[in-house]
Amino acid sequence: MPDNQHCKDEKFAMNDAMSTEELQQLLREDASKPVGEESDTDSLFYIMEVLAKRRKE
Amino acid sequence: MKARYSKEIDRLYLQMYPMLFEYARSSLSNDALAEEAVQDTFIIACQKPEALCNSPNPEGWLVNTLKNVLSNTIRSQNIARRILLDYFASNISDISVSTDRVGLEILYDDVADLEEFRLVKAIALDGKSYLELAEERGISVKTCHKRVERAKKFLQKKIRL
Repeated sequence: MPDNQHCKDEKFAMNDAMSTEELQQLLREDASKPVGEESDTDSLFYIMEVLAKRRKE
Repeated sequence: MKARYSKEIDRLYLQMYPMLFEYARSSLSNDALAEEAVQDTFIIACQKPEALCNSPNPEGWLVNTLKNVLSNTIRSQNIARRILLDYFASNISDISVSTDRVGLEILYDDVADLEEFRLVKAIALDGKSYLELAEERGISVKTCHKRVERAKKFLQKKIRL
């Protein structure tokens, strides 16, 4: 596994332990950010993916 | 639309739809509304294929577009909710002094065509989606949209008086 991918996975791994409600809250907070304010896209995609996987299960 | 744009949008749809749905669902707390928001996002993508496909980050472009769709949806819901609540608040005395056995339907028959009024109420207060209402009433989503818009305009005019 490339080093940067490994770092990314470690960085976002804490999201796996969070509850669905907590992850949804993070997405809500991002959605309510003012226009022009940068989002952490990698983190967002990771959270969305976790939620989508949980819905499938 | 160019074939390569179409192919790229297909790819993004398959890859991103479930993820975008989760994003929309977290803000709208309603599956049908969330689906509508994501579908609207892809409609915009189909209308602006160059912008999407030439973006350095097409996935990010979709998320930003969805954010705008969500913000418009929430704004529309709040406006409709405020209009209805204002209307009810300004007419509460009519209801409390009424001794007739007339129902709300008769009391508000001048507000808008009754079915249209019910549609606005269902969207603004009950949080239903156009799709749900259309299915319940056996009408198309487009017809449902038209009726709600007509009733909203009528209500807005009425409140301004």
